[in-house]
Amino acid sequence: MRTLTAIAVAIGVLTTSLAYGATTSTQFHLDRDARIVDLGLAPQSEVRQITLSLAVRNAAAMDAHAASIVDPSSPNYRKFLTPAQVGSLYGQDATSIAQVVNFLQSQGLTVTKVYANNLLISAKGTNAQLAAVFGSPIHAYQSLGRKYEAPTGTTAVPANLAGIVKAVHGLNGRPLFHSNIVRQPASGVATGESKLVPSRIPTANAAAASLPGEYTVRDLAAKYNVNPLYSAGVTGAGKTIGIATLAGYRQSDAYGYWNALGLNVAPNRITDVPVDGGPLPDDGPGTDGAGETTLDIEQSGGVAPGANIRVYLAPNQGNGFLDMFATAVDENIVDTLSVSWGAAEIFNAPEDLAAFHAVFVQAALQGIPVIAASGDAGAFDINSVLPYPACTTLLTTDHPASDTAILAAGGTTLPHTQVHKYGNITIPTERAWAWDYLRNYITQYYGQTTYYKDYFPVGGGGGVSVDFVRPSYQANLAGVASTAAAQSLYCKASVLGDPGTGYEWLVDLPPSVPGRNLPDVSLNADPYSGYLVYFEGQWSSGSGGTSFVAPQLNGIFTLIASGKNSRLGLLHPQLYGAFKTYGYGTKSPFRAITAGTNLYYKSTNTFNPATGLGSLDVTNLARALGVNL
Amino acid sequence: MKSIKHLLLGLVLATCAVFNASATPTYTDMFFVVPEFGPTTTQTWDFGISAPGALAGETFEFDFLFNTPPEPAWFSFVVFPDIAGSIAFTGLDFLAGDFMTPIDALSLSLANELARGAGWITSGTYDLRLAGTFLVDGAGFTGRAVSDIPEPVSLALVGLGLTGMVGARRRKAIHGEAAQAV
Repeated sequence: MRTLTAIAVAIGVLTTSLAYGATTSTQFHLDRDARIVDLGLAPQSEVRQITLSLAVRNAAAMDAHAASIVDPSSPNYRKFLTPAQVGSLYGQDATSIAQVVNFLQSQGLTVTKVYANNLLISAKGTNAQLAAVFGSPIHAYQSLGRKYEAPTGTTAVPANLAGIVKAVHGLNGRPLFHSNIVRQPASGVATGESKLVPSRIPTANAAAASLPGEYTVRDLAAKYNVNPLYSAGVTGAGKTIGIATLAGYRQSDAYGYWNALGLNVAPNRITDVPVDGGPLPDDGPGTDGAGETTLDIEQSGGVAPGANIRVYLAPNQGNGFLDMFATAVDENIVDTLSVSWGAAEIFNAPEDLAAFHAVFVQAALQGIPVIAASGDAGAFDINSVLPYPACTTLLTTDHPASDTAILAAGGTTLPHTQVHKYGNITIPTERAWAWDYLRNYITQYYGQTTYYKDYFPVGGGGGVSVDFVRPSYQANLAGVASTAAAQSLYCKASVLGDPGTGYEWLVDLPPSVPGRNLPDVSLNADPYSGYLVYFEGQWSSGSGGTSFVAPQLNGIFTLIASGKNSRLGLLHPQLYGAFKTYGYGTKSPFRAITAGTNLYYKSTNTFNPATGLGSLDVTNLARALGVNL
Repeated sequence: MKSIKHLLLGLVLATCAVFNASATPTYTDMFFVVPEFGPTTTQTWDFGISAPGALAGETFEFDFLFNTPPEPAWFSFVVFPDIAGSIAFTGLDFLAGDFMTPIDALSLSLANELARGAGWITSGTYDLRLAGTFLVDGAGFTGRAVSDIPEPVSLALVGLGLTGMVGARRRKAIHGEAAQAV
C-alpha cells in the first residue's frame, strides 16, 4: 500500500506524547500540552512542596453520608461532623499515617502537615529528594510565558506505601487554573462596541436602578428578590464567607466598593489566609488575577454585608489549588466556600480529581457548601485555551464545577437593550448567556473571523462531565443530557508549538456517557448586562462571567445560613428536592430560563445543561430551605 | 486553486475499516479540511484529491475531517471526479472524528461518479470517508461541503460552486500547472 505523498499540502504529525488516562468512570484525559518547552534539569537543591492524598476508606459511604446529613428522614440529619470525625470515619488510621510520615522522613523530606481528615499529608523536600522518592527527574519548563517545574516522566507512589497513598500532588507545578471573568471586547475592531467606563459612580444608598453593565450587588438583590431577607434583618451576621483564590488583591478595594454602596460592614471583616506561601509573584495585587479575587470579595461580601470573610490565597501551581480547599475545610471556620478559578476537567489527572472530590465531600460532611464558577466558554470550556478555528470545538466542562459535590454556578443574560455602533440588540427576557446572539451582528459588520476571535466561545459554562457519573440528585430528571457524539479535539501544530502546518489529534471524548450535568443554578453573568468592579481604586463597567455568580451564590447561601442560624450542608439534594416540590410554580425558588443557548445546549422549561435549574427567587429559596420570612 | 486547503494529518491507520475488507486500498490518507468563512454565517469546506502518480485500476480510501460550527446546522456535501469517467466511487461513510463511530445524521447517496449527503448536524468533528477506484491514470476528484444554508438552497449552491471549481481546475490543467494537491 502506498500513501499519496504527492499531495502538495503540509504534512501534519500525529502527536504521540498525548495519553489517555482513566478513572473509575469513563474517562479520557489530556495529560500534556505540546506548547511546553523543556528548559532542562531543575535546580536540585531547590525545595518544593507536595501533598499526598491517601485512600478514602469506603468512598461510596462517605458520599452517602454527606447526602444523609441533609435528609430529614435520616438519623444523620443536621449532624455535621468535625474534620477529626471525618478522619476517624473515612481517613487512614494512625498506624497508616505514621507509616507514611516515617517513610517520608526517612527519605529526608520534612512533613509539614497531616490534615485532620487523615486523607492528606503535606511535605517538602529538594528536587533531588523528590526525584529519588517518586522515580522521575524534575525539569524546569516554560509554557505560555510561565516557568514551572515538573517530572520528566511517570512518577509512582513508593511500593511500601501502596494501598495507603493514592497519589502525589504538586510534583507537576504547571499553572493550570484560570479565572472566570469576562469583559466586553474593546480592542481592535471591537473598539466602539463596548462600554467599560461607567456612566456614574455608585453612591451610598442609591436606588437599585443602574444601567446594564453597571449593576451592583444592590441591583442583584432587586432582580433576584433578595431584599425581603434584608428587610427581615438577615445580613449574614454570625456567619463566615470563604473565598478560595489564586491571586492577591487589595482589601481597600473591597471596602471601597462596599462603602460606596453604603453597605454597613465591619471594618475588619476580612481575614487573609495564605496557603503554601500565597499567590505567585506574577499574581499579586494589580494583576488580572487580582481582579478576580477583588470581585469575589466585593460580590460575596456585598450580598451578605454582615458576614465575616476569610480569603484563602494559594499559588497557581503544583498542589496549591488542592491545599487551598483542604486548608479551608480543615480549619472548619467558614460556613460557605466559593471559587471562581478552574480548568477544563479533562486537563486534570484522575487521581487529582479524586483527591479534590474527597475534600469537597468532607466539606459537605462538615456542613460547608462549596460553590464554583462553571466557566465562561459556554459548552466549549477547553476552547477558551485551545481556541476555534485553530482547534476544533470540543464539548467540555470545567472543574471543580463538574465535581458532583460542588454547586456549579452558571450564567444568564438579563433582559436589556445593547447599544452598538451599527444598531441596537435587544434581549427581551432573561436567557442563557452566550454571545451567539451577537453572531449575526458581528459577522455582518466585521466578518466571521472577528466573531470567532473576539466573541467565541463566550457564555455560561455547562454541559456533561466525562469524569463524574450522573449523581442521584439528577437521576430521572427531565432535561438531563448525556455526552454528545463526534467530539474530537484536533489543533494546528503551530498552536501546540510543533513544526509543520498540519493538524494534530489530541483526544476523542466518548459519546452517550451519562455524566454529571452542570450548571446547577444560574444568575446574570453577561458582561453586557454585567457589573461594576472597583479595582485598584478605580471603577469600571462591563464585567461579567460566572466569576460573579459563584461569589454571589456564596453570599446568598451565607444569608440563608444566617437566617437559619445553621450551616446548610450539601446543597444539591436540597435544591433538586425543592425543584421536585415546587417546579416553577409561584412559590418556587427557581425561575425557568426558556430562551437562548450556551452555544450548544438550549435553555428550556426543564433542567438543562445551559442554565441548570434556572435562576433564583432568593426569598422563595430561603423559605424552601427553612428560613422564616 | 487557492481556496482549497487540505491539511494532511499524516496518519495512516492500517486498522481503519475499509469498505472491502478483502482488498487493501492502494492509497489511504486523512485530511483536515479548514473552513472558509463566508460573508454571512455560512461556512464552506473545499476538498479533493489529485493523484498524478495513480494508475488506472488502483484503489483509494480517503478520510476528510470537518469541524462544524457550534450551532445545529444544515450540512451538505457533493463530491465528483474532475473528469467524467476517471474515477468510480465505491464507498461512502460519515463517521465521528474518531474514524470509527458511525454518524447517522446525514442522508448519504453514492453513485459511480457522485457522492453526496445532507442533513442537520450539531457541533462536532466528523469524518467523510470516501473509497473508490482510479479508472484513468492521474485522476482526481473535487468536493465541497457547506453548512448553515437553508436546506432547499444548499445543494443547488454546492453544485454551482463545485461546477465552477472543476472548471477552474481543468483550465489549470490545460495550462500545464496541474497541482498534485488540492
